[in-house]
Formats: sequence, structure tokens, C-alpha cells
Amino acid sequence: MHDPVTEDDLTAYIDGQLDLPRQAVVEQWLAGHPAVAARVMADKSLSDLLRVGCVAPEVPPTRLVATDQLAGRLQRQLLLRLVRRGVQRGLAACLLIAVGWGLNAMSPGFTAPADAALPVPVFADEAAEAFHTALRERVAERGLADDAVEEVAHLASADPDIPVPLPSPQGRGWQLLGARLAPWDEGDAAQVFWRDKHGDLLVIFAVEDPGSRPPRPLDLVPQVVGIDGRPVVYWRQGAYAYAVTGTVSRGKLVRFANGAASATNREAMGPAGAGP
Amino acid sequence: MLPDIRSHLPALRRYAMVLTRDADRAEDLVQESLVRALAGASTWQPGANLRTWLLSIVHNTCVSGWRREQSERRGLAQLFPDAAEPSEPPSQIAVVEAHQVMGALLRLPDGARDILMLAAVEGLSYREIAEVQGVPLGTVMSRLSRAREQLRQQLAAAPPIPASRRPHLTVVE
Repeated sequence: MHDPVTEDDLTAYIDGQLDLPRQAVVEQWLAGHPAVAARVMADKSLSDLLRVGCVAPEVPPTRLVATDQLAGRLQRQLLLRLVRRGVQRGLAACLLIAVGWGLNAMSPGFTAPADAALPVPVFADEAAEAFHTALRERVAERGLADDAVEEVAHLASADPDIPVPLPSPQGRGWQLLGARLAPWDEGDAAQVFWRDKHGDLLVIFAVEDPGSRPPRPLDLVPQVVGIDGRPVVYWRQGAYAYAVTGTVSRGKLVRFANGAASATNREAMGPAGAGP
Repeated sequence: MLPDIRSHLPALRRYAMVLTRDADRAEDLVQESLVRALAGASTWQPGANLRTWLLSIVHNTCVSGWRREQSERRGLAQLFPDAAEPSEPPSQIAVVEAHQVMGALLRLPDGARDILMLAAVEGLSYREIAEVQGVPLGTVMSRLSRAREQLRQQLAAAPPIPASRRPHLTVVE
């Protein structure tokens, strides 16, 4: 009778990857080959020791934060993908609750005015990321020209002849710092920087998103979420989507978003609409 | 099941460590892999094994030039400060042996230490390992067998733990 046990069998036995019948065959064979059995048992012991010895390294807290933020972004992307794919109705329902719960837990101060349980849209996530990048690169302090706004509005549009409508903050004390193009999943976004009289920033992230699903009434109402510890207010208007964030207070962001959203809605409904 | 990236970070860090043999560069690799995962989020199929998907991105990021851009072996000792030789008397003999085995693992060549780690530490199935590393199933098994042989040789060549650093054993009745 030929020897039925191979080296691959022994490897799989060490790694616990044999089914029970095959495992029994190997053990029976090992009983008759004590030298090989000793080596196999030694290898199993080494695997056990590796599990004890291989621990994740200690990472400085500053680096942990960066990794954690990336992980959070990826998680939101995948959650969104789940929703988009509509894998299961029940799963989607759980997801909405989980996202809403998670966001509320993460940012206790950031409660959405209407519907915190909505999944964060990609453009809002990208707005937060673009803002962090701008802060890191000190974009507001250098490299912005206030006369670039109109050009950026045209460049961010799918049709360069029709610029992306860009709302402006109302009231005194606002200074337009400038605008630039920022990448997002579907192309280029217009990122416009304003500074209030206290020196705090309000940054508008405006995109044309014609490929998105048909807007729902709720989309027209600004929603507030906390992304990476900062409030982001977002809403849609037709083929356009907006997200505002910055170093100004959450209240200022919400007031600006409510004003801008209602102004763009009035404009969309008739010629009597005023500017934002 | 809802994707939970953060719960997989320890596994990603362990794998990145074994690939890079350096704690700092391991974190760089994890971050770079997450950036690439963000860019390729559409390749993840809902319902697919998230850990395998993430580990394969770490693997591909490492072998696709990222490693060549980094300096090799910046500090083996930095990764496991007491891997090769414990600096303080450990409390358990298993811990001492584990460090010794881990040190030996880190001295194995590329392709050996990472595959052994995926099988022995992460407990991935051979099919999952094949998916992570992009190699046929048969290659996984032959590499594992060879890696174990190399690990045994490394340990046989390693100096024994000095008597002064051996743990004190207590007889428990």
C-alpha cells in the first residue's frame, strides 16, 4: 500500500486546515512515523509561539490619529457603497441606524436638524478632506486669488458655459479669500474660502453631480454631520451639491447653509428668487 | 455584515510589520494602503471578506514599488526591541521563546516570513492567503513548507538564551 500522506498534508495539518477525516488519516500516519511526528508537533508549537510573539507595534498617538481618520473615511466609503448597491433592504435599514448612531456618538454636539441617520454622501466626505488638506497646506494664507472664483465656477461645471452656482455669506465682515479646484470622486469641485471678522474660515465645496440619484425633498434641507471632529453641513439643489465646513462655529455654518439652500430653492422655483 | 475597518487595523499593522520589519514604515505602509483602498473602494464587493481585501491591498502596496522607495531594514531592533534577545527578564518562558521565534521569523527572507505570518498568526485559509498574495494555492503550500524549514534552521542557528536571562521557574504543586 502506498503512502497516502504528503508534505502538503502535513503543512495543512500544522495549520489546522484539514477536514476531520483527513486529519484522522494524517494522525494515524504520524503515529507510525515518530520522527516526522516530532517535527510536526514542533512546527505546531512554533506557530503557537508566533501568535504570542507577533503583536502590533506601539504607534505614536499623532500617527494613530492620521491612520484612524483614513480608516474612518474608508469605512464611510464602503458603507456608502453598501447602500448604493442596495445589498439588502434590512441591511440598509440597519446601516442607516448605525451611521446615524455612530455619527451622533462620535460628535455629540453635531446633531442634524432633520435627519442625522442619512449616510454621509461622498461629496460631503470629500469636502471635509479637501478642507483638511487646505488647512495642512495653509491654502487660505497663500496661493488664493479672489478673482479666480468665477473661473473656478466654470471649470468645476460639466458644461463650462454654465458655471456652478456659488452662494456667498450674507452680512458684514465677510472677506472673500479666493477659490480653487479640488478633486472629488466625480471630477473637480469648486472650493471657495471666506473669512469672517474674527478670522475664522468658512469653506464652500460645490460640485455638479448629475449622475446622482433623483433628489428627494429631504436633500434640499441642509444636514449636519461631524466628520473627523468638524461639522459639515450639506444639501443638494438640482444637479448641484454643496457642503460647507470651516473653523467658524456650527451655528454659523447652519445659518449660512439654510440661507443659501432656501435662496437657491427660490431661484429654482421662479424668477422672483433673490440671491443667497 | 457592516464593514468595520478599525477592527482590522491590528491585523494590517502586524502584516505590515512583518513585511517591512520596521514599526514606522509599517504604519506608513498601513496608511498608504488605506489611501489606495479609498481610491479603489469600488473594487470591494459587499459581502466579500473585508480582511482579505485589506490585507491584499497592504501586500500589493508593499510589493508594487512602495518598498523599493523606502530604505530597507532601517531598524530591526526598533520593531521588536527585545525580539532577538530579551533585555529584561521575562516572567514566562513562553514569552522568551516567543520573542526568540519572532526574531527568527523576521530574519527569514521576503516571501517566507509574510506567508508564515498569514497562516500561523492571522489564521487565514490557504485560499485566502492565495488571494492576498495573488499566487496559486499550490504555491502557498510549497512556500509555507519551505518557510517552516527555514524557520527551523534559523532557530537551530540562533544562540541559546543566556542563563542570566532565562526566566525563573517555580514549581507549582
